[in-house]
Amino acid sequence: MGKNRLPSQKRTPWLLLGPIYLFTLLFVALPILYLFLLSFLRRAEVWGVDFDFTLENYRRIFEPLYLNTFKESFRLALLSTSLVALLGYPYGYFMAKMGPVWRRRMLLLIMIPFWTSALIRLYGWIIVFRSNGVLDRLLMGLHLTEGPLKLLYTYPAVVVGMVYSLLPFMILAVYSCAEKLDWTLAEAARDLGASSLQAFWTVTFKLTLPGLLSGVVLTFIPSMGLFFIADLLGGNKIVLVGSVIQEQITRGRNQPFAAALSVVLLVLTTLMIRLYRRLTGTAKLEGLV
Amino acid sequence: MDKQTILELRGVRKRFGGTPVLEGIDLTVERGEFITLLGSSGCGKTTTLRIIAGLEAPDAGSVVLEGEDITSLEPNRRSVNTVFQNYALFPHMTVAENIGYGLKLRKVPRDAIAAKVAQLLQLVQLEGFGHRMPSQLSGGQRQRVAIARAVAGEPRVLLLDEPLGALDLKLRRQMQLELKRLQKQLGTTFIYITHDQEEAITMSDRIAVMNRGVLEQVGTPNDIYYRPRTSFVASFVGSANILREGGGTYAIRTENVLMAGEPQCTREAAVLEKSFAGGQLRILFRLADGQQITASRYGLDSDIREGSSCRIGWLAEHAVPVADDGQ
Amino acid sequence: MRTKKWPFVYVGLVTVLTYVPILLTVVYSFNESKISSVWGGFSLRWYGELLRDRDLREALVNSLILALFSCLAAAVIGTTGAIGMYRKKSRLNEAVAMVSMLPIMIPEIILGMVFLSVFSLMNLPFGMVTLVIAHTAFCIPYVYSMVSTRLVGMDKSLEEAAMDLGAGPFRVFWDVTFPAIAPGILSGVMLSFAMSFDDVVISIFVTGSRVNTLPVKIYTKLKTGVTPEINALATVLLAVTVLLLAGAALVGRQKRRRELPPGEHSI
Repeated sequence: MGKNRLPSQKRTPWLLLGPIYLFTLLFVALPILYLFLLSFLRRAEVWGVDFDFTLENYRRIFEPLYLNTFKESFRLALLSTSLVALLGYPYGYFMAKMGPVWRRRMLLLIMIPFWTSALIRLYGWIIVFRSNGVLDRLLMGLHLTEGPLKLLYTYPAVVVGMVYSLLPFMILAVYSCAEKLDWTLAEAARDLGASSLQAFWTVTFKLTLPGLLSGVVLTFIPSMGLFFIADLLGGNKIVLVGSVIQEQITRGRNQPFAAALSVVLLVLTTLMIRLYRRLTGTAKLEGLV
Repeated sequence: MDKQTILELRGVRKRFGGTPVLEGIDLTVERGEFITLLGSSGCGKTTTLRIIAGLEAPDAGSVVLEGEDITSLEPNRRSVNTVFQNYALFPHMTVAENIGYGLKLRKVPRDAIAAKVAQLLQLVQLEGFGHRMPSQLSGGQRQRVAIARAVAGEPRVLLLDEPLGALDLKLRRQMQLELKRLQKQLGTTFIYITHDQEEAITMSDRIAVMNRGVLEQVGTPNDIYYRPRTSFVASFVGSANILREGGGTYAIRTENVLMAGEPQCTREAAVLEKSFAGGQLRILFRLADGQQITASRYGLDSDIREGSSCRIGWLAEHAVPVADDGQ
Repeated sequence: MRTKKWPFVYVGLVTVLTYVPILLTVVYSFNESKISSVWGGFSLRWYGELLRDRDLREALVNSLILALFSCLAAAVIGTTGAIGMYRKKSRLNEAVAMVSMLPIMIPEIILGMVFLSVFSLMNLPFGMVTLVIAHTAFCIPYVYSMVSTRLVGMDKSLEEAAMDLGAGPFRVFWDVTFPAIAPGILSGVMLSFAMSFDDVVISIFVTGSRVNTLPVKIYTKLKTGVTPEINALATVLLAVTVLLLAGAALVGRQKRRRELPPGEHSI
């Protein structure tokens, strides 16, 4: 290093970095480490936790009841994510192909439901699915069904709720990736003899894949934990990992077991994100913020 | 110290992450001159400029402005201003606010700033554009605003980092003349950076040719063009032929190569290629020893055919001996 | 280029479907009948009930205070952090930046769980303080990444130009850096506000027995039994959102119009 460095190049801006270092250490890093620690502890008899080491919590996850919950959650997440991808990819893709004016309008239209309360949007579906609700009346009015379908508190209702809540994430992820796409590349492929389907598959799809995958990560991870959707639209019938965690804390008062469940979920999440990075070679999730 | 000297670089060195960029630059700039740092990209000319501006600190050596060592002085305390390559106009300020920015920092009274801005707008022929935003200007207009902003504070030295690089050829030519006029009018010392040897020759009082972090030659355009000191300078400026013969290296300008029908043609050469570029016909020859020589003439075509052979030559005084740096 | 119709049809159809449940809540908010499947005629009855519901009003105020404080804290910490890390790049900084992003990468329920266990370990009384800390944690990443994006996109020579023209470090920041990142701070804060105002999962874990946020209150109401009051509340919130977003869009439009060269106006 040279002897003459300008003062402005010398300082490490601790005044600027201090707050984020402190907050991240105190309220993100240490708490997450504590979660790991907690998952190896024992629940105290009356209240709180005892600080002695045990693997009991992890062993318990392998009980059929909880293993099944993981399987169920996984299945629901997979189904919701596939549907979200199927619906959201073309949406984001077409949106990116629109003119700038329509793009802005569509973005606004997507953002409005996104910015209204998630609960309230779900409430709309309760009105639709309720016994003798809007959907039942519509179907009966068209003489497609005889009596009320009783769709509320069923599996399909939960899937609809999940897809509905998570669709905007997928659309925005695909859109923000497709928007940056150089469309002349697809034209070049056509020029070189590719059919429009081939051009889409070999060029456009490949290049928008990071957006799609990012959308998959962004929908799959939350859908394992959004217990309130399963709760409101599925009643007590559909139990997700999230629901178990919440229940273990509120009713079971078993923090260590909830922590162990969380750790497993966290590990699954990390694996997914790593897989995403492997596949796309980028660190940043498309359209996350 | 010489009264005429305004700025001096003494043994300036700089490395970036272990890679040497400047390897001991010594340069003396005279008051009121238009001096150009000429070189291809990566030769260190921009780093030199940034060290003068104070945006980069040298690893060794010093920068002396009017007899005062300013090497470790912050850029905001140097009376040196820069016209940036991409103009760097503040996008959220109007043209007038941009130009008056430096004056505002110096707490110049508001009406004095307004008067100065109006005068500068007139100088760069942008009267009535003061209230516009930079995004509403064309490339050439932005260029002028950047210049007006940089000269507003009446700096001792004005640094210009390839200011015309982004403009098209026609506008470039026009701006070259305008910049030269401006420099004469203001009497300010200009240190100008370009990779375009034609631009350097048109505009400069002196040219400093840089290559791989070293100043190869400093001199008037005439010196550089007709009396290159190294083979690099000869081939970079005006693309001369480099001929290695009898232990010596010589630079021969293409227009000085004589061809069949002209006197002094003593060497047999094969005609490899003919091309037409920039109003000139260029013919590539291969000498008996394998070295290639290009000749140029104004005109569209000549009788010489590709694949044939003819005699070429040059006057002894046109073969300028140069130091061979392998290029 | 040929323009096909069916992409528009598809996008239009999905968009309309997205709005069906929202519009239903709006329609039913004016329904006189208490049973949502029966149309009992137009009425503003539920808006009246809403105004009289002290619990909900309290929850709304709590949510606003919570969103305000966590946004403010996140704005300060996220912005200063982004600038600091932009100025001085190091391995440690990168690691800290990554950890600070975790709250929006991991499932909400885990974050809630994490905070619940730590706060009970620290013996912090559950209430507004714990809520603000938890919300700040997931708001920082939004502000941080929005500001970082602006900083990376900023022309570095702008700061140099200001310095070159005589500005000291503070002036450079105030005159050049801040105006360049201000839109990032604004959108980060807006996103944070929306996320905080809407959060159920984390709030359920860290809220105390006496402090209810609006989403938590709505959640308990929806779980225990539906009142059409919620329809009215949804409609009010929707109207506010639309107004705010429309306002933002209008400002953006005017700004674009101002910055475009004459004769290149769109919309």
